[in-house]
Amino acid sequence: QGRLDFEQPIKINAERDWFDVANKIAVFEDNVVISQGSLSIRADHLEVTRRDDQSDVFTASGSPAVYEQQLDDGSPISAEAEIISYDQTKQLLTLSGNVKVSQSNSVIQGSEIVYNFATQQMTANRGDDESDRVTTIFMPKKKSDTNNEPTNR
Amino acid sequence: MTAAWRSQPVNRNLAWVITIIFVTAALLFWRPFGTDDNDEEQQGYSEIKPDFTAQGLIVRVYGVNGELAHRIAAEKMTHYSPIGLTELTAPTYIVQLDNNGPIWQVQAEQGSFYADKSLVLERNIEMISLSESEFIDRIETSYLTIDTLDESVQTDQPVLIVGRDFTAKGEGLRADMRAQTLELTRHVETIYTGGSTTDN
Repeated sequence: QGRLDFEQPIKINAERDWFDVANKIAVFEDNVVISQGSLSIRADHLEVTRRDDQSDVFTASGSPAVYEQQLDDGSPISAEAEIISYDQTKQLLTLSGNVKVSQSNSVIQGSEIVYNFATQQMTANRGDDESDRVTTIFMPKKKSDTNNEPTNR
Repeated sequence: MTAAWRSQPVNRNLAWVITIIFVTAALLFWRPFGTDDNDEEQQGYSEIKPDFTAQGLIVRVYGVNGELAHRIAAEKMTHYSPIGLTELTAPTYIVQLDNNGPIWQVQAEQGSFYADKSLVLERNIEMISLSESEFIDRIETSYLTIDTLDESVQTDQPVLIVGRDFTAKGEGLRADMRAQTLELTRHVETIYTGGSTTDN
């Protein structure tokens, strides 16, 4: 899962930027793009909070905020959500609010999805509402994709 | 004969008019009646002599409760009381807002401290946080105006903000030292190298 990405610096571009020095928060606004190797997150608003252990948590919000990355095998994974939180030290990506993750031929939707880059595990949680569900859609491979059958007889 | 006779007074008048114009022009140009001040004074420049020049002077300003609020030190200070200006060479400005709040030190090559308590710094400015675990280590720019009364800092020049494992570049800065907020007028790019092993 883009392991090489974590060795790269994180670059942030945005139109506006200000620092709340006392609370150790950096705020970026308007056309925010976070990039780290092949990982990129686009959002309207980003807060980078420095914790006491000097690590940073990046919390991006947008309508929606969009995450994209290239897996180790080169295939793309993308996701969108109202809030995308990226914990650099724990290598956790938490998406919440109308979450939709698309990877190869599958789509997962839910209220909150947590992806652990270190263990490469994805946990999808439904919302508090009883009717909320986690939905996973596996798209069947198209016939033309199968190698052993001639496409036209 | 009559034409020639009648034309002589006209020539004489003309000659008088030309002479008067020439003399007036000469007077205006050379001004022989001018006072004996030198030329510079006439054009409104008059060199103001400094009241004093001091080496290694430190100015301390205390708050209402007696705590040290500001401190301005400089290799050389030249004070001009008529215009309320103190010129500073290699100034260092230190501000601490409340007793255990962050301490900021600002250094520059050149500075001017005005009667309205604004401090203008120029060239190679470094604003350093002297507090230990501060979020922002230093700020670099080439021109900075500090209002020492409302403790605000401002520039429209390029700015580099260096924090622990991040750097932010932008143009223009507004900082409120009391509220401890810094805003880049135009953000260019910020780079975090925290988690990564490769420096940028």
